[in-house]
Formats: sequence, structure tokens, C-alpha cells
Amino acid sequence: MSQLGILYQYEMKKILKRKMTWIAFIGAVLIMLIVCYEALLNNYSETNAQTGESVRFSAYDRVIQRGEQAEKLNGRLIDDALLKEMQTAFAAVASQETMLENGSMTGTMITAVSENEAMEEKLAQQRRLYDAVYNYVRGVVGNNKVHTVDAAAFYDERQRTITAYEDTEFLTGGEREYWRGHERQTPYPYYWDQGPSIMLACIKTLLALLALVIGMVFSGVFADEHMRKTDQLALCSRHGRGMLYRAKLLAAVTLGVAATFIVGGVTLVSFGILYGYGKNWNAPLQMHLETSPYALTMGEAIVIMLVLLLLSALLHSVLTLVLSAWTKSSVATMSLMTAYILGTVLISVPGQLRALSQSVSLLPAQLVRGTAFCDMRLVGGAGHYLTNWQTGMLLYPLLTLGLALLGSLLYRRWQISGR
Amino acid sequence: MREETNLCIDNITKKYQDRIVVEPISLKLTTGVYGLLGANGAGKTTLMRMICGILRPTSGQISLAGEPVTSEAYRAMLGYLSQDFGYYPDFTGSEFLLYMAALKGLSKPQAREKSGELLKLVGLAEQSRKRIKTYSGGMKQRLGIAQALLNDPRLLVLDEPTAGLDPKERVRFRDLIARAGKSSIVLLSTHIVSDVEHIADSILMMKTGKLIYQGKWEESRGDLEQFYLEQFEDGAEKGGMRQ
Repeated sequence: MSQLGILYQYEMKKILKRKMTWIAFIGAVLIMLIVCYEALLNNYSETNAQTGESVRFSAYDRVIQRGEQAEKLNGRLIDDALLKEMQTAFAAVASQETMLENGSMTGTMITAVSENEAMEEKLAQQRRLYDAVYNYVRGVVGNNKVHTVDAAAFYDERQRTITAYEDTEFLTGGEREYWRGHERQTPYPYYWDQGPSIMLACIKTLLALLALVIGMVFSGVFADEHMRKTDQLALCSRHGRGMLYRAKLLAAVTLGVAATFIVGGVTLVSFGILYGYGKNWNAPLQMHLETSPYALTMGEAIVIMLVLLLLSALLHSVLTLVLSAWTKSSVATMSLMTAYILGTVLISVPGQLRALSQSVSLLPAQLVRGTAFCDMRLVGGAGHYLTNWQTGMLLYPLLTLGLALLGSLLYRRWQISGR
Repeated sequence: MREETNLCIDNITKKYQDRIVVEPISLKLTTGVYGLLGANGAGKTTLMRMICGILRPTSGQISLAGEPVTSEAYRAMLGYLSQDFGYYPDFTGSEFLLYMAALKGLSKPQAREKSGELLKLVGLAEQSRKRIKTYSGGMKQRLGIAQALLNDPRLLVLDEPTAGLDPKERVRFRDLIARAGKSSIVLLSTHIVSDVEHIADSILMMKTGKLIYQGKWEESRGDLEQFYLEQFEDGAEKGGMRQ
């Protein structure tokens, strides 16, 4: 085995022998398991108004029941026919809503509706079948139009929202033109998307959690050597500068990737077990984000986010090492990483400051989240554009490399002083 | 027998902002044991760190066998035991030496052979599989000496190496140093005069960043401790370095 290989093994051993490493990794896995299986733990009870019987069910049961009905419509184009069926099923609701809006509904009328139980049950079944479509369409056109909208009006309304985004994000003419050639074509099919949708929504939690874990675990890689005063022995040995730095970097990167695979894998598999991906992996992304212009499937969107998550883990691993080498303090490094994550999660720059706003949107905490697929701003010009996620795929490895070189310079100039 | 090596220190200084920690020092050291004496804060550790390449001099050059202090070749010829020797508490003694051997560029078989040999030499062979956190202060110090010798250094720099050693360990340590001094340059910093009395061929004395004395041990034979105190009373006033 080469010298680098031997040093790499020892550096892995040093990190893995820290209690902090195991506490952080196990903690992250447990947190994600709780996030994934929370729906099983939340119980609700519903009381039948007529019989007084109380029925207990979990949030998970409710989702599964909804899914069983909704999946019967999988693959159906959202067109006039589907909208008409949905509106027919919800006609009773429509009339109730209209009466409520007009303030003309009375107790007698409600009693009259509920008297015919057989009829009510049939209507309820119909509504359950179209419930998910109803909610989806209502999300785009609003409560007022959901009962009357046709396919053309539905897609027009969606397009109006997209155009409004284009204005608020100050898109250039070139960018608008790009999207007209690349956006999702309509009409698109309906799919029940619980598994992929919940996975995509969870990506931002995964990113923040992994960044914190990485900040905790790797904060001591250089700082502890300084604290233990082993740095002076290493730095005056033959391979203590260049090769040792590379070995530490490789060890951190390996464990950063391993943490992403383990924590991300646990989440992906858990949601797969609970909700399944098979039937709706190829659902249009618009099932999760109605107003996203991206012509991607849910599966593609998840894969893109997982790749960005992995690249972010690499970037954060190297960033932590550089901070550890710079501050020579694990507490300072952890604090800086926490401040960086919280700051970049919470930061919001007005769209008018286009360059700054878009730069911020390329930070991992802003880009590695499902809603990033609504951001229509592009990088490039003269007809050659990259979307934000494509930019991230190129930018993060370059930043990682740049930080690794910066860390190398910092470490080579490391001085033993001021103890 | 390997060829003689020269350590050339050419006019090095160290300043921190306006404070001069080491005033210009020029030295040429050849094979043998050199005792570096001086009170706390005299600049001994700063000088040794500059010689080990872990502290950059403000001015001046340092080279060993023609190799500059910043080169990998220089570090390959160097063995260092620092004043506050650091270690990895969860490593065993054997693991620590194998790790240090890898840092020093020894192949795996060489590292195994050399670490086994040195563990015996410093009397830690039986404890080599125990974690360092269970070692006593003296055992850790002996392990530190073993790591400094792993690469058969041409220049061995030992900063306060006898701190924490009991009388028996101190005698064993002196033998080790004397042996190393036959084929290497050994620079030994201490403020314990008896250590230097027993091992050093030559003496270097520092006071407030200045090298105030450089000479053979024989010149001061009689009462080194008295001589040492005299240097501190008079050396600075006389100005310049006695040789």
C-alpha cells in the first residue's frame, strides 16, 4: 500500500474513534427516521355524528387510503374530460360552498342533504376518487374556479402564475425565450405522487442536517492536531505537509459521502417502503410543483437533488476542513458552519438585486430543495443557458476544488506559534 | 558510518511585530551532541522550531546537508521531539509509531521493523498494544523519543526531553542520546544543567533571544552550573558571544 493509503487509513481511524462522529451520525439517522415515520405515530380519531362511534386512524392510513383512490386516475391527461368528471363528483360540495358564500344555507338544508345516506355514501365515494385531482386543480385556479374551470382555463391560469414569476424574478428576454422552448408541454397527465413528493420536500432537511453533521464531525480534523500539539510532529516530518493534507482531505470526503449515502439512503428507502415510488416515479414534476416550468419527471427531479446533495456534502466537508485549518479551533469551526447553514437557509435577497439574489439562490441551502425547480433564472447568455441546478452541478465541484487548494496553501504555511 | 552532515544557520532572526524574540544567530553544527541552555523565555524553543521548519524565520537561512529547511528532503533527515509532546490518546503505542513512520516515509515492513526495535530500546515493548491514554508521563516521553528516532535522523532536535522522566529513565535517555550523537547532530534544549553535563559535547547558551555562548564542554568543565549562572550574570553585559 502507498504511503498515502497508509496515512488515509490512520486519518479515517482518527475520525472514527471520536465519540462525536458516532453521536452525530447516529443522531442524524434517528432524526430522519422520525421525520419519515412520523405519519405512523400521529393518530387521529373521528366521531360519527349519528352513531357517536369513535374511529382511530393514523395520518399514514389516511394518506394510503387517499392514494389507493387517487392512483386509479394515474396517467389520465388533465383535460376537459377529467375536469368534468371531477366537477360532477364535487357538484354537491360546489352547491354547498355557493350557498355558504351567499349566506343562504340553513340547518334544514344540511339535514336534507344528510338524510339520504345511500346517496351521500355514493357521492362520498366519487369525491374520494377525485379528491386528489380536486385539490391539485384548486391549488392552481383557487376555490372559486375549481368547480367550473375547463382545461384551457386551467393551463392559462397556470401559465399566468409562471409569467408573474418571470416578472418578479426579472427574467431577460433571452431567458423567457429559453423557457418557451424548454418548458413542460400541456396537457400533462395526472399522477398520485405521495412518495416522490414527500422525498423531494425532505431534501432541504437532509441538506441542513448533513451540513451540521459534517460541521460537527470534521471540525477537529486540523484543529484537534493543534490542540493536542501533534501538528508540530506532523509538520516537521517528510510527508507531514502535502501528503498528510491529501490524506485528511480524502478521509473527510469519504466519510462525508458515506454520511450522505447512509442518511439519504435511510430517508429514500423509508419513504419508498411507506409510500412507494414505482407507480409515480415518472409522474411530471408539476404534480409536486404546479407552477414549475421544468419538463422533468419526479424521479429525475429526485435524482438531480440527490446528486446535488452529494456534491454539497463534498463542498461542506472541504469547507469544514479549511475552516478547521484556518481557525485552529473545533468550536469556532462548528460555530461558523452552524452560522453558515442557518444564514444561508434563512437569507432572502429581493429579486430586484438580480445578480446578488441569483448568487444566493445558487448556495446549497437555497438550491438543494424541491422548490428550487420553480426558480426560472438562468446562467449564461447569447442563447447558451444553464439552469440553476445545472450550474450547481458544475459550480460545486469547482468550489470544492478551489477550497481544497486554498486549504492546502493555508496548511503548508501553518506556523507553530502563539501557544 | 554515514558521511558527516552540516547544519548551517545563517543569520536567522525572529520578530513578532516590534518584539525581537531571536536576534541574529549564525551557527554551523556538525555531528555531535549540542546542549542548548537558557532560562525560560530565552528563545530556545523559538530557535528549535525555526530549525525544524515549523516556524518561519523573519530573516536568514537554515540548511542541512545543503537542503533548505523548507524542503521535503530536509524534513526527511529530521527527528523532533517537542517540548509539549502531543499524541493520540486512542492509538496504541505501536499504532502511534507506525503512523509516525508513515509520515516519515518509511515503508510498511520498514516501519514494523523499526518501531519494534525502538519500542524495545525505550522499554515499551510490553506496553505497545496498550492505548496511549493509559501511559504514564514518563512512558509518553519515551514514546516521543522513539518517534523522533524512527527515520534514523541526521538532525535530532529535542526540546526539554527529560521533563517528566524519573532518574532511572533519565539515565536510559542519556544513553540513547549519546548513541545517536555518534552519527547525527543532536540539539538538546534544556534548563537542567546536569543533563547537558552528562551528554553534550558542546554548549550553546541563550539569553533574551541572543546566543551568548558557544563552546566546547571541556572549556567550562569544573562547575558548569556555576559557569551557567556566570553567563547569566555577566554574559549580556559583556556583549557579543563568547567562543
